[in-house]
Amino acid sequence: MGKKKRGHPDVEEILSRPWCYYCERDFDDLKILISHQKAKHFKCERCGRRLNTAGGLSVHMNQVHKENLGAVENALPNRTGTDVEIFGMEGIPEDVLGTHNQRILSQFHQAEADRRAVTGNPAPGTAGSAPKKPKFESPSDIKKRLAEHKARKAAEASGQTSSGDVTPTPAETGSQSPVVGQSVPAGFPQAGAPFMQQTPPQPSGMQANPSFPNFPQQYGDTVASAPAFQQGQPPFVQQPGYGPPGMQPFPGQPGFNAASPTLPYQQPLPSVTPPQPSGLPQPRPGSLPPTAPGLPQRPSFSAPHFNPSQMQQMHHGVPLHQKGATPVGPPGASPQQTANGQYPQTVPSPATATQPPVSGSAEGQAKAAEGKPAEGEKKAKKEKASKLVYSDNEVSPEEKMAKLPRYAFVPDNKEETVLGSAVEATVTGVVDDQDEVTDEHI
Amino acid sequence: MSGLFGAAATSAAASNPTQGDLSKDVALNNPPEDSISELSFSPQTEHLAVASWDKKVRIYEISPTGQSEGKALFEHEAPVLSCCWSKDGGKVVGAGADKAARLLDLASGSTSPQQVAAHEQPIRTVRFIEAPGSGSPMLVTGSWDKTVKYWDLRQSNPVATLQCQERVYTMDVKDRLLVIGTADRYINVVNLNDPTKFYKTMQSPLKWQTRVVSCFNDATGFAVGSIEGRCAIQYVEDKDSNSNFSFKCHRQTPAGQTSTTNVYSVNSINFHPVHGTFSTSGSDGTFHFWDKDAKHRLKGYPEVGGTISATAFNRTGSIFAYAVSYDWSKGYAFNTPNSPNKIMLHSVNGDECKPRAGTKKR
Repeated sequence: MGKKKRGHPDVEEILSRPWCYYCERDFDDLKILISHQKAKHFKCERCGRRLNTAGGLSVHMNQVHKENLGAVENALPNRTGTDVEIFGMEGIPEDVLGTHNQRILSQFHQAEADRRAVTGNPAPGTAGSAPKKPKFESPSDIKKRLAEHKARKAAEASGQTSSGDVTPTPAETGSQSPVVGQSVPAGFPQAGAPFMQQTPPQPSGMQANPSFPNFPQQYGDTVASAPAFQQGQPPFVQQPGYGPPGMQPFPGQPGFNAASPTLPYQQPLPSVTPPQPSGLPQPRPGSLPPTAPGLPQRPSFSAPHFNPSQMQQMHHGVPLHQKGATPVGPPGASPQQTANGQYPQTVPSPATATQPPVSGSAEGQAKAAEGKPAEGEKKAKKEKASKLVYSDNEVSPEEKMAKLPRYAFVPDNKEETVLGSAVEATVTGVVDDQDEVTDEHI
Repeated sequence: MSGLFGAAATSAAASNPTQGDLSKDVALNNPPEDSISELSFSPQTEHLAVASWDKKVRIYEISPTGQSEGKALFEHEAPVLSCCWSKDGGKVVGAGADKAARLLDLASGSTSPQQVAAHEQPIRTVRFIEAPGSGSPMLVTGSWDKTVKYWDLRQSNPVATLQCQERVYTMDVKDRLLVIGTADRYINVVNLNDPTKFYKTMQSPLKWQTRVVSCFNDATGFAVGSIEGRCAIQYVEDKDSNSNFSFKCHRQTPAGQTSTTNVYSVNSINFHPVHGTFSTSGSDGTFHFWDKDAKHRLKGYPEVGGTISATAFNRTGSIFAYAVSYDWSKGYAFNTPNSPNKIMLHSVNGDECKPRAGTKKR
């Protein structure tokens, strides 16, 4: 990630922030801290003079006002002492500094944990490492899963997927699909690319799935849209046999298969499907090692991919695709995000394409809400939506007013003809004037 | 300080430190029949000149009790956009859409005005100045024909003409400082010791149309108000430029809506003649007193029931007059016959306009 502005700073950033010994407030830079201290803690209450240190203030009070400084103002209860010589960050006792840092750190970690809990994000370093653990999944586990899977396949083949039993495993679908993506680039690098392109239409092509016994389901979409890819399917089906030599724990394959049965049910569960296509192609190769097909990685995988879209939403307000994704209830949230995130994640260029519309819609809304000219809009976005009551930047209200017939030089349709003769005398001049007024307008 | 309008006024605003009280304000008797374009107090006596869109300039005498009485009146052939007093308080000049400035010599008891200036377009603003050297009164007029002209009150031709970049919207004079605000955000500063050229030309520090400029009492700088609820404090000399700043004002968040703000035009800025603090007033129908040195708002006042189109302090700073009349900020549709059209006199009590002690920065 580049220098993307996150809502939260790094530990280092937080720790390096100057803070005030007296009130434990932290500041952007030392200058501000110092001026804060001068204004809040070292200001003489008698004359408003701002001293540099508590000692200085004490001496000042003594000499100028003949008073003794008992305590530092606005300080925390245990920090009111005037004996400690504080200036900015200088003079803070070691132990206080230590406890402060301790506190900052614990706060930071707490905040981070909270954030993670909220967003479902993995910890920065753990995203890559966590998935590796599953590699050590015991062979028995793998076999067990394989057996389960086979059983399910069998059941599927016999019952021909009435969706009821398989759908309840949305977690699997979400998680397994990544595997597909992985194996694709691994086995068929060339095929991987077309695959990516075809992912978006996937939901629509889903209906075709049942007709395909195995993997073809996943490429059901490709069946519809890209016959070329279909050719790639047969080898795919044999993939079990392919069993990448190095990849001993190819349990990903079972998982892969498992994913396919669920796909048909993606229509009933729109909330689940969108993440898949979006999740499939891009992030996987990047964030996950190709050899990590195990289950555990998936949650961590699918989660982060929600997040950027959430961020997007936050940045751009109402998601553009909201109308497309109508599901109700909690799952409703994910379809929106994914619908949004879909393009950004699959192909980089669409991402840029999608963003402008989003912001555009926000703009449009703002515009509609404010009903004000476009030139005022930038302004409005910068501050909060502010509406200029008089928004004509070119012409003053007086000029507009003066152009009104009732104010025109000619006293024609104004009933207040108090002026009487004086006005009439100038009628000839009047006509010219009016012309000039319009000239000016032009 | 004793209350100008009787003792009761003194204690009026004491209760709430930031919100002023308008209940003691007195309305001017027999106000103009149409919107008020400018208010101007005599620098010598308790007289108030009022320029109005009803094509008249009226002169009122204000009694110590706040009562007012029309004393004189003269007419233009079109709406009057500006008026001012000569320094000796003997003359009143009005200027307006009839492209003329007319002078009424009160000292001589004259009742008919004489034309003293002419432009090719409506004259937006007029001020008296003193001629460099002689100190004799002269007139400076700024017009929508993009010129500023100097007049000696005797000849029918201007003594000098300054070509501006754009239509002149506002102008203010203090001592030797003349500031001209035009359309397209140009601001020209003229040193009246060398009145025929711009001492300095700049773009307004504000990003929107300049509505009003007003010079500091010490003539070291000026305040600028724009249509976008913002006011800038600008010093003339570069060495003071670090004291320049701008601030937002005359904005409202409509009730029930937290996400939008209505931004109103700043229509008028006046400096208090004694304290050097200043007032702003706007289309939102409020006025406020500010201290530019402490960067504090001294007092705000509740809405007065209509847009405030013009304001003025009297010579001692004991009366603040504000005109509640339509300023066209919301367009034609809002110019209803029942919108208020009045001039209120606000008694400036003790500390309302005084810079607060102790807030001064070292």
